[in-house]
Amino acid sequence: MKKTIAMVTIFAIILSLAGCGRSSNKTPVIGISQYGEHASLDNCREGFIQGLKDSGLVENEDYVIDYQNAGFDDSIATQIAQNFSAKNVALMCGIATPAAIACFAAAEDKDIPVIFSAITDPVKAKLDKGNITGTSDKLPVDAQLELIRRLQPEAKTIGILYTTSEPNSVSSIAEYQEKAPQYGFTIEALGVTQQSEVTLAADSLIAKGVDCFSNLTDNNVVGVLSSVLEKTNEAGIPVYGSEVEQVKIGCVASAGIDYYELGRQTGIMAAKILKGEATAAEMPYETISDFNYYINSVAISEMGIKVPADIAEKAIESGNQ
Amino acid sequence: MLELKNIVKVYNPGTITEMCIFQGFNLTVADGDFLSIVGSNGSGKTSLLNIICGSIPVEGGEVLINGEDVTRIKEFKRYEKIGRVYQNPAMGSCPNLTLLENISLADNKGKKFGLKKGINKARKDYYQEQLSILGLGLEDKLEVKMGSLSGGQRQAAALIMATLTPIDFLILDEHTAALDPKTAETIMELTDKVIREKKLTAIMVTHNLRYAVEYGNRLIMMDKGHIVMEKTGAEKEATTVNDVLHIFNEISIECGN
Amino acid sequence: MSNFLDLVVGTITQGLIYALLSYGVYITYRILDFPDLTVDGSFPLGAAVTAVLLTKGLNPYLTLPVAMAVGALAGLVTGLIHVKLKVRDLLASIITMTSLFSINLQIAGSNLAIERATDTIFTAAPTMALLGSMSLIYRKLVVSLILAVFFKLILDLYFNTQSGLLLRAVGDNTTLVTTLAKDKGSVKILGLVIANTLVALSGAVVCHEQRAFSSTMGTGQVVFGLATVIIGTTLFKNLNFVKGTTAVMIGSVLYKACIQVSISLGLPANLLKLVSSVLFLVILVLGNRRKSEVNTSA
Repeated sequence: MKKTIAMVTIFAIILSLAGCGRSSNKTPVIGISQYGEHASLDNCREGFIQGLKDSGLVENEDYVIDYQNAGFDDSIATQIAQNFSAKNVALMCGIATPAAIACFAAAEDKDIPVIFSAITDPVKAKLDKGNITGTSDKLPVDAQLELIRRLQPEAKTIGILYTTSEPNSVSSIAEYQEKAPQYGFTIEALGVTQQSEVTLAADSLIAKGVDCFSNLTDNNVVGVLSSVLEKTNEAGIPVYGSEVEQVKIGCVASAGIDYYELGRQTGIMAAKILKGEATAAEMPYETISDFNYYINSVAISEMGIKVPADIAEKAIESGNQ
Repeated sequence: MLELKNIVKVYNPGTITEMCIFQGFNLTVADGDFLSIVGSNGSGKTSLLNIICGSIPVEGGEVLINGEDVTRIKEFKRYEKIGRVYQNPAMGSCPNLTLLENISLADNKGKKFGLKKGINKARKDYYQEQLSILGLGLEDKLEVKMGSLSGGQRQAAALIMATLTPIDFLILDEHTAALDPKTAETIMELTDKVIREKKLTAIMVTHNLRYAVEYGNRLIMMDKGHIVMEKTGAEKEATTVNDVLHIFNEISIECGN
Repeated sequence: MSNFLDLVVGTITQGLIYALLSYGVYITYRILDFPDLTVDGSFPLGAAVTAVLLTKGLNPYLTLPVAMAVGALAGLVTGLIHVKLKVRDLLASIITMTSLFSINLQIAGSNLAIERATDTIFTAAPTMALLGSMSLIYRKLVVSLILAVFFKLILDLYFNTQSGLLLRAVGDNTTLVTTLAKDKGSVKILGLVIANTLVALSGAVVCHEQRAFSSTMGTGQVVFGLATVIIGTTLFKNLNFVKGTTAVMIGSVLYKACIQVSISLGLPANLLKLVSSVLFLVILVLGNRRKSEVNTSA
């Protein structure tokens, strides 16, 4: 019995030290909850931090960052958000849908403002109303379709892999299917339920004879992109990425958003909230409208694709890994 | 009353290891009989018990209890009116439950296990009374976990548990074989006592020829699925261990041992 | 110091909500001695059903019994596959768990979120009438406490019934159950049904608390459950007055506390899971040491 009491006491001391130590200073804390480690999400976070600086705020004077990573675990995301709430952070930043949802739930009690980033469909995630705002990485589908049409004038079908449980992916597929005919394409969309099924699904699309693949910002698919590229490269089918990191890995090109920019835009919005210029409730979420052309010259030439001059001019070479 | 009619039992039919142990076996056990079954390993003694209890199916023949054909009835259902004590004392009770909990379970045998209280406090006196028949002091150990009791104590408790509710017969499956000589002796005496007091019909399989001879009113010896010796009543009283041993050796020599 | 208190309250709330899951794993793992992976599927099942019903405007309190009923079905399926189709316990549960992954998505469509405008068991009128004076964090604590204790008491009462005693027997000695003229298969199925009812309930409450169902929320829950059952039962091994259900409830709170400590200590984010495992190990070792102390002094 004594040992139990000792243990509980030590425990309580640790918790209190941990809890109190951080909030003894009055500088506003920004709690960043990132769902998991992922090139795009990391870029997003770094951009966010830069965005705060670009707004004229000074770290450790005007704000302090508390960054937590949930390791793709929903219940850990929950406890991270609770931690932020208990600490009375000035602002919670949720990067990726599950982290943002957890933050929004934990923020309800004290009405702490929440800002999110890298969420494709904030409406579906019910994060569009309330003391919450942020940026959406809605895919520039039109730009991507146009790019593919310009680079592959003869192509007819585009294959797309996606995870059926991802609302972001589901809405993107719907948009692709809506807009594809305008560019003379038909979409072959194949859904999987988990990451282990992705490469098999890729085989299936290749067998169907699609002219190219296009990626969404689907975590599962992007996670095994290298394996997918192995197969498509062998079959001579080009894959168009949804953002720069994928082009670096080996996709031929992308009309994609820059996650760093997305994050920076989010950081600027966050700064406004911190400065008191606006509340999260007042700010509607923003969708990044700018996109860039990213090209992987090596991959493109291997596919025998000729890049039209005007695109080549604007494109950012992203061939290195 | 138990009747086994034309029992056919084949192990692993249609394979290399196919073995027909019973080819039309017959046996009748009358109410009040205390039958001992001896025989070498592989003679079919255990198979016989398992067939009676329904643990293994038969390829032919019928098992009748009090005139009712139970051959197709599932094992667990047959145990409603059969009590069984196994060779391994651990099989007769739950080690992580107390003696009281085990006995309470046994007390409810054959009835619905519903949402009434698991332990009926009003019956506690009755359980103590039953346990005191054993004379082992178990009536004071009701709150002890079965796992802490010795093999002999567990076996004795298993005996009481098997006979607590009304049963048609008691099956004793080499139930003293795993006990040390002194404990085995105690358990065997207790077995006899319980059978007499409760007027039970019993079938006991044993390797111990002395027990087979000294206890009960019937004795059969089995060999390769057949009854090679049968003694009943006065004839059995007159039988000695040497008589049994003699026949035992005979069949063994025939086999070329 | 309100920070510390808020943290403690939030952590205990999580522990209590997940204690319902722990009760379920306690029944299958500890009592039935049946490794039941159905949990990874029945937990999100409860959440999926709840999310859909809340979106459709059902009274939030009613989502709980519905979730429990579906959880019971999941347990029944595993039980039937194991007993009637004679598939090994672990495999039978994996089959159900895998099927549920698809079924959960069919039920919810995709990952589903609940608006703040929709009432949950923590914000609906009856709760506000009783607990309206408390802040949301405390309301969550009280409601979770009521649920955790209520079901703990029901389980304790059940284990003292004839049916409960038989359940405890089947995990201890299946032969005895047969000798007692009971179908051990049916008893196991009953245990699986009860366990998964509680697990699905846990998922439903999490859905109320987080206002979301996600198809990945079940991953690793059986591991969590096993960890809490082991922590709880090891720590209280020699204190006979502490019932198994209580021990497991405390185990759940402790495990959540371990994670919260790791978060609070501000350690590198990637080490979160490693640190909580180490803390878990420390608790186990301390628990074992105390056990051997008791043994040597006895």
